[in-house]
Amino acid sequence: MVGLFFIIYTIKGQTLISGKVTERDGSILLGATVFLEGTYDGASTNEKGEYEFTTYNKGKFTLLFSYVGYFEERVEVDLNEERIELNIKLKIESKELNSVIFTAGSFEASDKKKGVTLKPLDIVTTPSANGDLYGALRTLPGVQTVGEDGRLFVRGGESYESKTFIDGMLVQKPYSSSTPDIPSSGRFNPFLFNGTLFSSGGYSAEYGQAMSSALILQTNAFPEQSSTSVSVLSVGASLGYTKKWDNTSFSLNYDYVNLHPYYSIVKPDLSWNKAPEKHAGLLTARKRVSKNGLIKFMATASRNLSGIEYPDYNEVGKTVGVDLFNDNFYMNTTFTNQFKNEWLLKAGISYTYNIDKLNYGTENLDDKLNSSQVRIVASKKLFNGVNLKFGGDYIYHSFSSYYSGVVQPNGVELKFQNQIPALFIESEIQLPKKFAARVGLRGEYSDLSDEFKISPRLSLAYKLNLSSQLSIAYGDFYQTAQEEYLKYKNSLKLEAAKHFIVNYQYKKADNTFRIEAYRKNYTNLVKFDGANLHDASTYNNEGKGYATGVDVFWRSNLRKWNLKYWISYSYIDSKRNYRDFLTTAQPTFISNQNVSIVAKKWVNALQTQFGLSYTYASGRTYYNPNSSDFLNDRTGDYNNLCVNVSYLTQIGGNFTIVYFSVSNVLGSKNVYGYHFYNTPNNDGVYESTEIISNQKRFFLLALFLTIK
Amino acid sequence: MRIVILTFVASLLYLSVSAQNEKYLESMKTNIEQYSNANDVNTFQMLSGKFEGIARVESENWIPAYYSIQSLLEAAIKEEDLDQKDLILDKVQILLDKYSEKFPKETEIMVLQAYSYQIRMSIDNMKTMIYGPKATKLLQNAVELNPKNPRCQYLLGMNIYYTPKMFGGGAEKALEHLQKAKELYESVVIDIPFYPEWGEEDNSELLKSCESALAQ
Repeated sequence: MVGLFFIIYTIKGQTLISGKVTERDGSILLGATVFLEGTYDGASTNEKGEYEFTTYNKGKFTLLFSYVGYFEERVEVDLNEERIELNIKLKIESKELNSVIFTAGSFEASDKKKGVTLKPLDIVTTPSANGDLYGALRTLPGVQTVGEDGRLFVRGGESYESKTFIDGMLVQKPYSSSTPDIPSSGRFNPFLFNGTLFSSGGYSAEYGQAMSSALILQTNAFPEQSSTSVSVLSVGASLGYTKKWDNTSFSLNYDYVNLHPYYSIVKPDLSWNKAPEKHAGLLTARKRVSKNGLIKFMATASRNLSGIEYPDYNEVGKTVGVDLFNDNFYMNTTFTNQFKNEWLLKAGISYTYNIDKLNYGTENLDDKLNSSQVRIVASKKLFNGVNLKFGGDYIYHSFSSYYSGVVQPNGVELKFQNQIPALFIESEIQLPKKFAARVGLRGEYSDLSDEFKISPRLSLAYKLNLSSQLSIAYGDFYQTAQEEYLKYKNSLKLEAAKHFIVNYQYKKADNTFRIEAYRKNYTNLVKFDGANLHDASTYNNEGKGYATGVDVFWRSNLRKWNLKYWISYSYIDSKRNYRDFLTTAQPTFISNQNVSIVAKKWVNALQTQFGLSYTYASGRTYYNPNSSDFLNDRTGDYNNLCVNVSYLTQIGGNFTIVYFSVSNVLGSKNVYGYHFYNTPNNDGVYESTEIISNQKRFFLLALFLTIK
Repeated sequence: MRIVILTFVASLLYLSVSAQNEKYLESMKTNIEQYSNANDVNTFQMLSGKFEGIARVESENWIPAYYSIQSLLEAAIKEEDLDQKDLILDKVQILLDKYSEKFPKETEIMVLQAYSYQIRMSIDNMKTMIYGPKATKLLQNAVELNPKNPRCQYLLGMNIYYTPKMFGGGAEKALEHLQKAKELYESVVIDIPFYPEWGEEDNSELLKSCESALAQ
């Protein structure tokens, strides 16, 4: 009908309609559809979110705005003007598109951009990792190689300074317990997580109680499908069952590890009275309670047993049996909901129960931990590129240590309870032109030391071009003193670290390059008299230290050869005067230079992935009573070449992976340090034993099967 | 008089209907031309928006919807940043879900769904376990629904060719599909304007590789 009238009307009767289509917070939408409903008159938005078109239609029409994944908007227009300008804000419908910005080259000052992300398959296929989350993290820049200890030592920090968070909740005991000089490993299977963000410093105000770094883990939302999994390894076996319905799922896993059969075939260098044995169970459940509401539940329980024969440092030639018994229970429940007004709420509760019973010949030490955390965080995109996040958490920490032995045959118990409430507020701001900033403030109160601390956390990023950005960060970090010292002196104050970080990064297609320089200043570190450990009066917070260094990271994917690789280099200069140190010196867990090369190649014809990782670390200091200088001796350098092979196949129509790895292929002798006897020999020299790996080479053979 | 008025009204109606049809042909022609000349992510995204507009007017016609999906797929292919690629594919999936529900028997849309799975696999080849079988099943379904669609046979052949032998794939099994696709490309003629025609050259090339792989 319209067609004929169009000819009768004069040419002057056209209307120009233009405007801009954006999201609620102002981010532009590219490719949005703007049309007069029922007609062909319309346009789509360009990279500035702008649209423009002319129409000869007259009268009242409906202008329809639409965009994939967003709610449509209809606006009544009267086409009697010559010009109509209409800007529209569309509301997101699909929660999967939540973190999307559709113009090329967006960037943020967030942890996600500054940290390094590893996917579960990256972790499991890293040869030196042996399937351990923390093993894979050790190949990243800033992480020290401390071969006799499986935990994270980041940028001059001790392992207790790096904390693990699962779905925002602090995990008190992320590592399995182990006897001294035997590396521990992570309790959690990397496949539980779809996001593994490792921040080696300057992290968000959302997290506290970690002076060095935060490992932020996000568990999977829903499994793909119901399945059964079976794994058989040279060191144990696992069984898993996952069931998925429309809005609910649960998963049950049981792991058993026993190194006894393995040690009878490949003899270890150390003497074991009981080869490590572990039983572990895991239950996870998910329930979608509404369109945008999800409840996640996880509970894990494990029992660890081992017994090893150590040299008795009171008398050369004598040994003492050390037995370890550990029971651990961890529970974590979180609730996430996105409300209609676009507020996102996350609430969580977690509980840890852990008991370590260490038996050293006549000496017994039982450590028991009961800890709980409640957390709530609200966040929202406010307007024009401003995000706001705030929340609080409360930690209850109850620790008791019971000691009995020759010195105290009746036993003595030391214990404490601590409460740590905290509040934080943080905002991410996209400033005009090319700046983005993150400004945060965290306040924590520690009941035991009666201290209230405010930590500012600031981060500023500048976009140099489409693929690179420069950023600087500053933050204050506080942490309660370790349990083993707090039990002697409850009033020990919070330890503190200040971080200054400068970072440049380049990311384009498959290539990532990062170089980061940092300076950490430590204050209020715990000091005590090494000869009088039990004397509470010698404990104070007068320790100090610093760490300064550069981390370089390069990651790439040579698609032509199906080769993925990354290279990390770290240089660090760090000294402390803390614990029982006599002067300021470089701590024993630090290597001034660390190099890590990881390469993985997929050969399609063989359906196999070959992996290689090489780690180098320069010598570490060790305490030598024969020397007049404190911590002035160095061990030799550390070298470790690991290889692995993963072969994908089918057994009875079910997806199977056959895995084999060898660590320290070259058989390098790596000495991590020395333990010295307490009294000198007849020549006045203190004798020593080397701290070495349990085995020169470690072989792992495994079969993973998934049955649908 | 009445007859004149009736004829006049009839001719008005005819004019408006054919005018509408002309508008469709004109719009599609312009946009498809732009589509063939486009070669960057932003242009493809804009084109997808334009085709969406046409799809709204021609709500019973699957072809504008088809191009809206395909433009966004091209945007995903052109996008170099892997994270952004995945995000664009998430958008494509929303369109695919909407239009495969609206046009459940349209095999060309199934072909695009299978194609999006392939792009997902190229981003992360560990995802092959998830997307590979999904794509094969979908395409086998599509072949049954419309045995005359060369693109179904071509993509099915491509999928099987790149699936390793032990999982039921390989050059031998792929051959018959690629050959069938070639036959169909050469023989089938569809009269509908703007009906998708792509894939003949790529199919011939893949067929050659397949044949030479088997000759060894």
